[in-house]
Parts: sequence; C-alpha cells; structure tokens
Amino acid sequence: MTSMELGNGESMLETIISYILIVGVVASLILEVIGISLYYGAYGNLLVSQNSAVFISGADFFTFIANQTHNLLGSHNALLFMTLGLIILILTPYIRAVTSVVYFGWERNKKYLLITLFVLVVLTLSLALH
Amino acid sequence: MFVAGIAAGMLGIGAGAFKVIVHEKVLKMPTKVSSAISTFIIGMTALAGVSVYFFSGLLNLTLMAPMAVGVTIGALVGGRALNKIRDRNLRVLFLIIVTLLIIQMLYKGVTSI
Repeated sequence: MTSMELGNGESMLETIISYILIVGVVASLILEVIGISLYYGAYGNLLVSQNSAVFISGADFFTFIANQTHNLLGSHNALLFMTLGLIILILTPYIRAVTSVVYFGWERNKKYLLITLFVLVVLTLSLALH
Repeated sequence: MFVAGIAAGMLGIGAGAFKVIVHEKVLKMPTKVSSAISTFIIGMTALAGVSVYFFSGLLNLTLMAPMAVGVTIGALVGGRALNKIRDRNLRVLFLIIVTLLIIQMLYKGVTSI
C-alpha cells in the first residue's frame, strides 16, 4: 500500500513532492546528456568554452524561459538542450514550493501556508527581479 | 541560517556545509537526519542564489551541463549510501570534506590577491 492510498495528508504531500523532484531531476538529466552528446558531436571535445554564446543571462528568469520556448520551434542544437535542462533543474525546487503552497492552502493549514508562501515569494522575487 | 545563505550566495559553495553544522551543534539533530534535510532544502537556497549569477551573465553552459549530470548522479548514489554508512564514519567524511573546502577557499583567496 502506498502512502497516497493511506490517505495521510503529510504522506501524500511527501509523495507528490518526491514525484516532482524525481521527474524534474530525470528530465533535466536526459536533456543535459542529449545536449552534451550533441555538443561533443559538433565540436569533438567537451572543453569549457569561453565563447559568449555559451553564457546565459537575462533581465528576468521567466522572460528568459518564454524566449527559449520560442527557440524550440527553431533550430535544435546542443546549447538549447543544455539550456532547457538547466531551466527544468532551476524550476524543480520552485514547482516544489508552489505545490506546498497549494497543498497547505487546500488543507487550510495557515501556519505552514504562511511559511511556504514566504519561501515562494522570496524565490519568485529572486527569479523575477534584477 | 541567514549567514549560511549569504555565504552560499557570495561564494557559490552551497550552504550545506554550514547548515549541517548548525543542525548538529545547535538543533542537536542526528547526522543522517541533518544530511537528509540539508540535501532536501539545498535546491531552494541555491535557487535564490543562482538568480544573481544568471542576471550577471556568469552561467557557462559548457561548464554547467557536465557538472549538473555528474553532481546529480553522485547525489543519487550518495543518498543511497547514506543509509549504509555509520553516523561516526559520516561525521569523519563530513569533516574531511569541510577541511578540503576550507583549504580550497584559502588557496583561492591567497592566490587571487
């Protein structure tokens, strides 16, 4: 019997979060490996490049994600896969925080709702504000 | 924890080394519980810190991608190994890693002057 079937609230939250973390990490790992393989196929080495094209930056992280989504329709190259893997890796703990807020809100647990909401606000501001 | 977060954000070393010490010495947590909690929340603390590097354009994909793959696989192996290591041995391993971290930071600090 899984913890979800037990109907225990905390166990269910732990199960949901563990699935989010596993899916996020595995998806990121797969994209990074594809990106590294394509990069090796294109350049024949895995040396750290100082070319400006391999550095990523932006005014805010959410706009950056939107821009990368547009790139998906264009060329598929090594750097794009690496970037997408990185985006998923960065967003995984963020989605984990969002899930906790939704869950504690649904449970009407004010104490933990406020704590997780505070964490989510800090993370959102960190990613959105330059 | 606030100081640990500042150090992690400024130095890019992850706050785990600091948090584990606070967990064990101040909060009196067992070593394995402390390591597990540190691993669980490190993504959140690192996320807040990494945004600064992102805005500054310091994130290099050719360096990050292989590191992300290596660290992720290592973390999975380490998480499995945690249950099989005795508390005392884990504490010794932690001491060695923190010592190496201090030596590396001192070396970087001295050579960059």
